[in-house]
Amino acid sequence: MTIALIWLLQDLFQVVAAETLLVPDLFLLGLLVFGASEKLSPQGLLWSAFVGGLFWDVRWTGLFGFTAFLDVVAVWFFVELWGRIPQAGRTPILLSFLALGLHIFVGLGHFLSWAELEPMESLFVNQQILALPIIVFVGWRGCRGTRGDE
Amino acid sequence: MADNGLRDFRIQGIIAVTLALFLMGVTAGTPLKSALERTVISVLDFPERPARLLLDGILATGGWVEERGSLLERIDVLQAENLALRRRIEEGLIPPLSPEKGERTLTTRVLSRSPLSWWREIRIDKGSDDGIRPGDPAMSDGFLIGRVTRVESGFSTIELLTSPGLLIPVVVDQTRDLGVVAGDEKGQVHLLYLPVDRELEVEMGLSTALVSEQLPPGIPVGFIAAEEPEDGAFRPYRVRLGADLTRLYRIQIGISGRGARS
Repeated sequence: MTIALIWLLQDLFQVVAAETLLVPDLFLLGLLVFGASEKLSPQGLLWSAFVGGLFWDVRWTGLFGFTAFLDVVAVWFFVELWGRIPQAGRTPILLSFLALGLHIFVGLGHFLSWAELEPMESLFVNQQILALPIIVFVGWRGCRGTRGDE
Repeated sequence: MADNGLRDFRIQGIIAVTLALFLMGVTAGTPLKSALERTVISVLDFPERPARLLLDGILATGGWVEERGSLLERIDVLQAENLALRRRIEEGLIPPLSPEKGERTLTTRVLSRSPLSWWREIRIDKGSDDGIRPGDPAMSDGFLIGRVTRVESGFSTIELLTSPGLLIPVVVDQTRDLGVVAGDEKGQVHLLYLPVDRELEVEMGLSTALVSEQLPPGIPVGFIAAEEPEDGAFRPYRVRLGADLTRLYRIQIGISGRGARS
């Protein structure tokens, strides 16, 4: 339910910012928080990424399955990597860097899909810059959840 | 994660990736895609409404200073045109003008623009319920950008001038030469079928021509940007559109008072 609300929040932000910005991928970052804090099972993360990405495609990109593909790959990579890191090494900084990398990966996927790249360059860069504070929050919130459970 | 759990996760990952790729491959341009888009956009219309109102509020308060300058410039141009038209009416060169019953322009918002058909079409948030009909002209900043092709109750699709499927008869304002503008689906628009002996200059204006029932005549389209190599007895020209097709957010639809155009 929370993840659906995050998707809707991103959609509403995109409606408001449609004329100026690409909003940060709140949905993906939300999934990472849920994954890091183990509030969703890996399978739950995977299919949430798929469904949320698919809905994003229907609403915004028009290429069904494209965002779903990028989100699923990002979540898959995250689960595989995060699972290999011992509990002691799962720091907010590491999670933030991982979230940044995956956010850039998905953003770059979208960016490269545009027919005309030049006018989209600034939108892509602004999206990544705007995501930075949220990524820091993801690192803090994701790791806090894990430690709270311990 | 236990080995079994990890294996299960990876199998589901492969299924999800395959499904996403499959959907990408099979849904493009199908009626299923349009139906799904319609449904999701209709469902999201309600929760998105406050966001749209907020955007309108922000634009109305924040953007009016910026818009005011360009609107004043446009008013100057329109006043000059209006004066010239009135003079011609007074001189009996053209009959008095009055809008047809029901004729008006309707401002709409761009709902979606697919990267796959970026230069071909856009979807807007008004449809037949608002009086839009297939064939109505779509404009931005007072210049033609395309034509309504499909209309549903609350949404419409506009084929852009950059689409190769949309051939628009135009007239060169300064010489009255007739030609056709057509897009190449790569963001460029070309003026075609002008004989090589015609001497057209860069920056000459283009407007829709009264040679078909497709569009009303006299809508500004753009300007001649450059000559292109001869093609037999004809010379194409590159066209600079008056509207910026890379920044389409709000567009105006010319609603006619008559039935649907062909």
